[in-house]
Amino acid sequence: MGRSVGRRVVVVGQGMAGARFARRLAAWAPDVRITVYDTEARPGYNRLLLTGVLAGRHRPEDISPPQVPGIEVRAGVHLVAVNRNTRTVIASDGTAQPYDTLVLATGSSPTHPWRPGRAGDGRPLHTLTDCLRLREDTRRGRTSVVVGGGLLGVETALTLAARGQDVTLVHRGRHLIDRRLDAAAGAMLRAVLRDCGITVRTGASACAPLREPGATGVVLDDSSVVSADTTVIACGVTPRVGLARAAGLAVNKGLIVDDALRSVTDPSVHAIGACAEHRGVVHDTALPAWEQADVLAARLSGRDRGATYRGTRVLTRLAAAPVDLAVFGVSRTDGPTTRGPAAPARPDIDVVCLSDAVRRTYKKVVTRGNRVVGGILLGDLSTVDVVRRAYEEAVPLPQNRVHLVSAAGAAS
Amino acid sequence: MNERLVLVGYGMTGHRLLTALRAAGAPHRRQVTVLAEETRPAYDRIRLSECLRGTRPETLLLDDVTPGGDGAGVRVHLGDPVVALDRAGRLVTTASGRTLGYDVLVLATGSRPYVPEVPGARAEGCCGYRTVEDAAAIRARAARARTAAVVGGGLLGLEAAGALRALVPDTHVVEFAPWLMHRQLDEQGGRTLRRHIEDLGVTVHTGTRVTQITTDEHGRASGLRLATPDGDPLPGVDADLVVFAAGVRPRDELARNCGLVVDPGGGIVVDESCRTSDPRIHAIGECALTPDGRVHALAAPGFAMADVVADLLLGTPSAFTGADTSTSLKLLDVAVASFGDALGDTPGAHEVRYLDTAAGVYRNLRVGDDGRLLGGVLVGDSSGYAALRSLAGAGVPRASSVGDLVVPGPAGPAVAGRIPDDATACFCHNVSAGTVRRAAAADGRPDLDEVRRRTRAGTGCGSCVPALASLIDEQLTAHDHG
Ligand SMILES: Cc1cc2nc3c(=O)[nH]c(=O)nc-3n(C[C@H](O)[C@H](O)[C@H](O)COP(=O)(O)OP(=O)(O)OC[C@H]3O[C@@H](n4cnc5c(N)ncnc54)[C@H](O)[C@@H]3O)c2cc1C
Ligand SMILES: Cc1cc2nc3c(=O)[nH]c(=O)nc-3n(C[C@H](O)[C@H](O)[C@H](O)COP(=O)(O)OP(=O)(O)OC[C@H]3O[C@@H](n4cnc5c(N)ncnc54)[C@H](O)[C@@H]3O)c2cc1C
Repeated sequence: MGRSVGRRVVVVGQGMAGARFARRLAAWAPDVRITVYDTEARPGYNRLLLTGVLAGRHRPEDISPPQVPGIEVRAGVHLVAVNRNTRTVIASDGTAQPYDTLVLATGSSPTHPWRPGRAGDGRPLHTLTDCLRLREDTRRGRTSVVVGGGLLGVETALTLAARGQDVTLVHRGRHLIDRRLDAAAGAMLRAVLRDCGITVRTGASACAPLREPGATGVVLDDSSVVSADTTVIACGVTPRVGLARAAGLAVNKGLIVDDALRSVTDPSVHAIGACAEHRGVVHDTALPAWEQADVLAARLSGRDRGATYRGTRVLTRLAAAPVDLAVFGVSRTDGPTTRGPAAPARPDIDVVCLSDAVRRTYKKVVTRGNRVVGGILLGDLSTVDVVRRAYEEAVPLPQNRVHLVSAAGAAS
Repeated sequence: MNERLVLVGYGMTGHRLLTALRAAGAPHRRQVTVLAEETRPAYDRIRLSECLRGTRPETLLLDDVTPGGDGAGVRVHLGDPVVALDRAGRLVTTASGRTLGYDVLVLATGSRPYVPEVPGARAEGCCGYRTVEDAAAIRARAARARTAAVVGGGLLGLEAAGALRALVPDTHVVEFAPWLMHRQLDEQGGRTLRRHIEDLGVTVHTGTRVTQITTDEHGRASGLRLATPDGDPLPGVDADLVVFAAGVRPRDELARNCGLVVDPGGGIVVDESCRTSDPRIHAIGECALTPDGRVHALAAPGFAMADVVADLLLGTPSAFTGADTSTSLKLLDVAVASFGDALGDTPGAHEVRYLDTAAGVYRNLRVGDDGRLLGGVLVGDSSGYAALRSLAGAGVPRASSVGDLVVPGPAGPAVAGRIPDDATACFCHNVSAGTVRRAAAADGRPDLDEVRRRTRAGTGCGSCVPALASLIDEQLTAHDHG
């Protein structure tokens, strides 16, 4: 073993992708020297559990996995440059480190709608540090505004409301989570948030922090003001590709990689996680990050040299009481897609949909031919296993599709 | 002297009135005269489309309720319409010159098809769709037609189109509203229905106005000119046969001419006893405008009005308090039903919806703020319709299970729960679930025909038969266990 990989592997980032990769590689190729750099000066942690920390369900120390021997972690040290000619990385402490293989797992950084100037201008929820500060802020204040109604914004709003905050959610899109949900599901979700006491304003952009004496909050594009003690920014993320770009590697939205997760510019550089762009897609959820980490570790360790990554059919979950949501694949069939203007009505696409305003559930499964290609399950995930199997394994469907959206229908 | 009752119009409602009086033995104490425009005794107009498929009209005739043998004096004059009404003299005059005095007059003159006022609308080849004669004319014309167009995409229009497509190679439906059965269905329901209709080979034009019927050199209909609702021209269609099914207008001309209060928009104004502005004159069925401000163009409300007048004449007054407006589409092999507050007009109503585009199924149930089932729309699969309609009428809190009821499948007691005794089972004859249960329990071994005979339930439009069967089943199981 070890012949298929250089002896020195440098990993940039110990987030969801980087940490998983390093652990796998250490286990499968013990002779390899692994160095992991991370900007954050603390042990790695599971980012998915941050809202749990904010909610008070987890203590900060509980979300870090135990250290693994054989991995040198340089926490609090970030990389400032890559010299591909000499195969050396330069760290923020001035040290240089040669590599045979470089793995970029730098993830993404939160998009900020304005340049934050002072405290009170709003903070994202992206790191554990953000999370702890936010927790502090909401202990002192009573009202919060969440800017951005995507998955993370909705989850954060629900978490804060459950903590007793008086929450306003401001969202630029026409309905909540409009990148993934259709209008009907968005409306149903809005009703659930309303039941939780959250004020939702859609079609409204926050364009500046409110900077008046004794007042904080945000100013909207229609000049109205939402004042709040705490402002949370959840306006999406952008792949962190500054290092890669500066090193002359091909970058589109993310660092472009092939099915071997190799940079198309330099075969000794790899990228995994939210900084990578594979077949035109940047995956910004955990499951693809893990799959990519596993594929790359298998290849580099020699455990499966032919392993390739071909994309992930992933079910995105949002579980923040009382909302339980799973979205996957082609989920919007009613209008503009993320790809651009109104998608043409697709005659080859069918839906089976059960929507219940009394129980506040919305279940839609999208099919093409007799395959499941996407869907939304909101408020009732009793059929999620059936649907997940049909989707992830591309199992052909039986004639009767009721069972995809109704456990009761399946029984009768 | 015996009271003289004169009935004008021998259609479905008029027949119902006679049936109710006869059931109470009442004709004995009265002299009843029926003056009818049509040359046939009352027939089941609901089944008129069967005539388009070649069924003989005689099979549509309703029970004869005018036996003369026992001297019960019901006299019927067919083909002799009333042409004038003298209220001061309490006299009616017929086309043949007959003059008759009355103590009580009942108008049951129904309605006529609405024909849009466009050039060519009266050309040869343009037909209304109301009577056996209309059906015969359509069928005769259809035998030679290559193209047919039905104006109106409501219940009647679709029934007509469904029958025509078997006779005419190229059939079109033109509807002004943005979707089919606009008054009964919501948009998704209309869209789902449209796919079924198109699958049957009928071309559907919604959001389309007819601006002219074009004619050939013999003055016969040859096509339709079409436009958007705003008047922008659209491509026209060829049509050797044009059927108007674009709504109906109450036949209130007799009432209007003798000074009874008639609504400017049509319909003889009646109170909840179905009395007109003249206390000796009643109006029932499609010619009447009831206190809810509506003209009811369905059989069940007409039956309810006939029953109100019968009750009044029998000395046990009751009131017309609205009626079931459920409808279901027949003939097209496409299940469509709309019942109760189908479109969720009740403030605070919630929607519970099921859609399966591959199967062409759409079901939408409306639930009140208090959890009661209010009504709904079923397209492509109307399973459970009869039970759902009963539950909606009964205003039972059902919130917990509406989500299961909306999914296609039989709404058996396991899903629907027990239908309360006071819920209506048969809407045509207003028979409660309790009455059906009692009738079934009274028999040793209850069966559907026996229950039908005893209660008349299920002998109207027939849509409640599944519900009756399950009510009878309940009794059978009770027997088996007891
Ligand atoms: C609050 C929150 C909740 C979420 N919940 C879910 C969820 O429920 N389900 C889900 O699928 N996804 C969730 N996500 C998204 C998920 O966390 C990301 O998709 C995932 O973290 C991407 O993994 P990654 O390793 O590519 O990036 P990250 O986890 O962001 O890790 C990148 C790491 O690289 C480090 N880094 C960056 N640049 C440098 C540098 N130059 N030098 C050294 N280190 C550097 C960063 O400090 C960071 O630690 C959530 C995200 C957040 C913020
Ligand atoms: C094709 C078709 C399908 C239908 N399907 C359904 C259905 O599925 N469900 C449903 O609920 N309803 C349906 N209807 C409607 C239903 O038939 C009517 O609601 C019902 O017939 C109304 O009864 P009526 O007695 O008020 O009028 P009609 O049945 O029209 O009877 C009125 C009678 O009065 C006569 N008359 C009029 N003026 C005079 C006069 N001056 N002197 C003497 N006689 C006169 C007319 O000739 C006619 O015979 C359908 C109707 C049609 C045409």
